[in-house]
Amino acid sequence: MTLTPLLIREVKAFIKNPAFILSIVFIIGFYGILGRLMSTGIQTAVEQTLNMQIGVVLYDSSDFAVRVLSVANKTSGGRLQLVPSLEAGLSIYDIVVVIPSDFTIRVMELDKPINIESYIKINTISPVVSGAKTNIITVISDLIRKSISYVIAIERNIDPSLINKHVLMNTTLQVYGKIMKLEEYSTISFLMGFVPMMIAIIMGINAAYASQFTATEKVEKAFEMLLAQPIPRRNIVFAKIIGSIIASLLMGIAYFTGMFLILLSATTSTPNTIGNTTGLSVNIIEIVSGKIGFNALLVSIATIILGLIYSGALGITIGSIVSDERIAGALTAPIIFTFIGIGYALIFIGLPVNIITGVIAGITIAPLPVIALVSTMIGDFTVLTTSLLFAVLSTIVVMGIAIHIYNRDIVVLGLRISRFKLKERK
Amino acid sequence: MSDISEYAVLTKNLTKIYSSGSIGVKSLNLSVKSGEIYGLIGPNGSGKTTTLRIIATLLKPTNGEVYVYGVDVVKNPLEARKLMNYLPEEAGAYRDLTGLDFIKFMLSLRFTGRRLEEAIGEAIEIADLGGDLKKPIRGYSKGMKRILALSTVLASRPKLLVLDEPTIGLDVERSIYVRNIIRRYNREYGITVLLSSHNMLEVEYLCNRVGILYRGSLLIEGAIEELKNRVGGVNLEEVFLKVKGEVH
Repeated sequence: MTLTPLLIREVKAFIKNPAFILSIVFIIGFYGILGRLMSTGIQTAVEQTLNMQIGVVLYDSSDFAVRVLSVANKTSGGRLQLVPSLEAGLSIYDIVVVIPSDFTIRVMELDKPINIESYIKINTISPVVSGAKTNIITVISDLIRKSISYVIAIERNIDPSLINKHVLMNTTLQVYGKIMKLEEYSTISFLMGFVPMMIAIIMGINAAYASQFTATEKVEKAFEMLLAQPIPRRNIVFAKIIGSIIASLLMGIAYFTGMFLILLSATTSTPNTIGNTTGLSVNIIEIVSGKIGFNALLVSIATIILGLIYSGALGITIGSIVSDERIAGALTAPIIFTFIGIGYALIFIGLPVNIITGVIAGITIAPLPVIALVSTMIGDFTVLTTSLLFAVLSTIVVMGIAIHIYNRDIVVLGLRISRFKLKERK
Repeated sequence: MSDISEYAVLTKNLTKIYSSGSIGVKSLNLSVKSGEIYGLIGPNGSGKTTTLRIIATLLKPTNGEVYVYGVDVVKNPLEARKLMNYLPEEAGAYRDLTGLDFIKFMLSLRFTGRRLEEAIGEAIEIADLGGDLKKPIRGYSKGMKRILALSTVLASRPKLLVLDEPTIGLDVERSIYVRNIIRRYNREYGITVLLSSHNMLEVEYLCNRVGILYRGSLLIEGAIEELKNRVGGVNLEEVFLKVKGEVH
């Protein structure tokens, strides 16, 4: 069998490549830590949400309405708290349900649905927390429907399962102080998860391009000739960064054109009544301009540019210190996965948007659009300014490292990781 | 300062110790006069490539000083690079370019306008690859790539040419062609050449003076005939073996 020695050779080529082993160790370690952080953040957020008290404004003071609320409160374990007004409720609780003055009348009339207004306050970028809060509304809606059936059944001494009143929960969200409908928030939440992720992927691909191009140049043996020419090394680094940016932009433009076409035509219809759609449509472009503002869009574009320079310089640094394409190839996977991990982490860990997380977002770049979006909504640009400042600083630092490396021996000699040396150190 | 600038290359106690602890060169004092062809000879690992890389500003010395026409290569590498050009051992070229594009690219890093056009024409003449110059380099043989790289280095007409094993991997005909062209450029344009080689015959044919490196140290240097008389060898190989034997 000639296949066996060929296969052994292929596997050995990877296993004996220290960069490959290091990459595996790094990916496992990085994602292990990231997973733990995300898990802790998600668990804490969910626990907080599940134990959340809900404010109830009762505008219908009828005996029936009070009894329905009492049943619902007992069933929920005492989580419903009466508040005098919506404003008072939202100042204490994240979720407030408003029982309207015509509640009892509507219950008693067979053909009328029961409309209940609910309000959710969201001051987090975590989709887990906001998802849990919106789910609570569904639970409350179901709880009120069942409580109505129970109270009527008791009053009239009939089976509760025979009573089926529809409760229509009309939800309004207050996201960082901005009022919006649930479907509008769903779009924003999607953008908050999607945009950093896309930027992280583009950065990862760009870093991979840059490292591969640089390593290939070394293998082609023209590298030393180039370094011996009377040109500043920083010009070589800049040219490589710009080259990788152009390559990534060409790829990115093709991708984003496709995505933009999808966004332009993206409309979502939300069923407001059973078996009947309201015809309410949500256009993402309108939401971006109306609720988020084009400032956030501009920051996203700036983030892509900074991210490309940052990742290009990082890729060039890696490509210039490895000795061949194989090692650069093995290091490509962790580069991409690191950027993707960072892109996701800040959002799912559920950290609040403040100076510290702003600095983290600035250093890692990919989550910057989320900071821009939140800053625009709350109308305070302190965190965003800090983030952008750190993004520019970290980009300059990474470029500085690349230029520094190009002026050191390592660019010619390459980084040598030998198992022998590791053993020797033991 | 005037003493330093008299030499094309001058090293003072040049030492290179790699991060692994291995010694590249040790207290090397080397002097290459302007206009001569100087050959560095020695076995593998003797420090030839390390020395040439330091002179070409690719590596930084651990200790010591290196001057190219009086310019300190560590303190002022950009100025030093303007005075010289370097052909590394196993120098290759960008696979995706054609031979002509490679020539244009490398020379455009040094020249512009009419001087660039002249240099390109000169490199095309030196490379002598005919129609192959318009083909991608990925299809070139090792010899063709070597000649192509050498053509760009020669056509740049630096004051100092640093060549690491210029004929390694070349067939007999191409080796003779390369030696003759190096000699021609040295005579016609007064280009100083510092080269390394394993090939003692080549060094004897080309060089005015040689230095024998062994384990990072310069054992002996001088004109070839002078070394033969001093050591009592018939040729450079014998000189090398005798000098090396004295060390042991």
